[in-house]
Amino acid sequence: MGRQIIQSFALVFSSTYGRNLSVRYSRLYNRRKLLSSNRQLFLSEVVSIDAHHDPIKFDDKSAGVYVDLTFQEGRVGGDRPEIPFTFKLNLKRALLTVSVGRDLKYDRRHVARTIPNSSVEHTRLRGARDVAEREIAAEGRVDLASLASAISGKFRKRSEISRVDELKLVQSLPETLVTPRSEGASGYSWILEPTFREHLRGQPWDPIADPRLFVESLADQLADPHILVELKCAFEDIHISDIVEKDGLSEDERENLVLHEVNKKAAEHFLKMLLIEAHLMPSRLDNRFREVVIASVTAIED
Amino acid sequence: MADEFDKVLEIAKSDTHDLVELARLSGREIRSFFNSADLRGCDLSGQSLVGLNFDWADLRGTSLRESEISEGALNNAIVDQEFDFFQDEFDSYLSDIDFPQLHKLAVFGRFRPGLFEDLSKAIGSTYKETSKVLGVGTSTLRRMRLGEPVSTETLEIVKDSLDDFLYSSLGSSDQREVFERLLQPSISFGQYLSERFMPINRSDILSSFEIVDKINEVVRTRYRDKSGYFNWSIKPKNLLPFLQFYREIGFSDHDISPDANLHYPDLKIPMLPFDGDG
Repeated sequence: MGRQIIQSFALVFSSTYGRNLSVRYSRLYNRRKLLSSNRQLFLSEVVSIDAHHDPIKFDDKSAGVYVDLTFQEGRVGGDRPEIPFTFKLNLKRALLTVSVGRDLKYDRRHVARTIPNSSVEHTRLRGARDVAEREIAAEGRVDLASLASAISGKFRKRSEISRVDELKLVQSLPETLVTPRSEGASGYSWILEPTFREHLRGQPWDPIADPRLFVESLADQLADPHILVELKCAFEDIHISDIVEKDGLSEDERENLVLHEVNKKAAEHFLKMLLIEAHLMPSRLDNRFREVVIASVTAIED
Repeated sequence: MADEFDKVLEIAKSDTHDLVELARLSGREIRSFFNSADLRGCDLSGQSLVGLNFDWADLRGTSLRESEISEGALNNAIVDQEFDFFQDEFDSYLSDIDFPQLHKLAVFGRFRPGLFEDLSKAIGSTYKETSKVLGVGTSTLRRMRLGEPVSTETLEIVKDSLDDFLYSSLGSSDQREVFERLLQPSISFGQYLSERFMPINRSDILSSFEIVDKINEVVRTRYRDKSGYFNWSIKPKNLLPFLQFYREIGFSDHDISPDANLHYPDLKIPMLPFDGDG
């Protein structure tokens, strides 16, 4: 057992520390090739990702790298005969990394750091009760009604006036919070988190108007520009819910079927394990932080 | 793979709500099945969870009333304050001693008290014979029995002996029980600060391995200087990641030699202006 852990440890550390990117990439690509020939990845069903870049020139920083990213919520398993059930798959958080090859350099001053245009209005109502107490004498004037009440002995010394102020705070809030994070010379990352939803939905940025970063070539003649775009998440960021059996149940039975909470959680956990194993990523030692590569594409020239 | 998806459905629809039974249905290793599982809000009261391990699992809002739990199984899990009496400081595994980086750290380890007493009972021998089996002296065994810290070298010897012994002879049920206990977290690593043993979390130990690896990632060459004495030069294997790492852990750019760019002209290391010795 110990030896196995050591081996997985060696794998993980060579993959996280080995800045020899080409080796790392080739390993990754072989794995992808192997997988695509075997079966389609499951986690990539909740996300569609595409990347392209402008023609890259020597000593010219105008070549932008564009990432077209869309998160969708969906039922998975409907068109897969090997799964006897369907389930909902969602992402709570994700990390997009653009890493550039050794012959390329990205412009640190023009990395996408702006809040995207697609935003919603977040309205908050605040009631402020303003209680004003005043004395009639302090009012400075005596009207007929108060004079009459004073004569009849019903003199009220204080009258209370209450007022409710409604304050409307309009805040512009993006649908997805994008937090940039530098990865050193090798690339740049963006952490994607939902702001008001529980899960990631829609496009976090305009794919054409907001290039992620600009690259220039360090070599005079560039044989093969290598820009890798990866979407990763942690084990705990994958959310599986609502496992429903496909057949063997009538419409009524399916609606009335209530699974026990413990069984539901155990089944969801096992399904999550299976989905991640399909991605064949070496897990980190500390499973809390182990990363799963959901999708990995190379940017093509456009 | 398709069989395993059938098992997911089997678990979901099963009549039993016992976690051990559900883990058995999966066909996977039962002990580590619920590692990093999200079990929030489940009612596990009265269940026997012996043999399961809940490392990195989330058990908030979970009722564990009258549940039976293996010693140390919840040590790396998130539990409500109500049930934190299930947790203690022994959160590391016997197999953690295999990490080569551990031996570069100035840490000591202590076993859970009473573990070696039970081992002696299971073997059916005196402490003197047990110390022979473990390959340590009787005084060291006494220290370990009482849960006092021992060096990582001693831990390594004990671990190797235990592996040899326990894998070769798993005869009686008592021995198997001790073996099961040793598979759960049973060691607490720590260091001495002002003559007092301070335990360190396992996650902190594991994350410090990164630093150990980076610091050891250097090439040491011996050379003779002008006056004829031997000297050592230390150069990192991959300079840029090394520099980035040094900046991350708080070294400033002033620690980089101004001559660095002379030695590595193609790297173009960003330099701070040198303000002289004054």
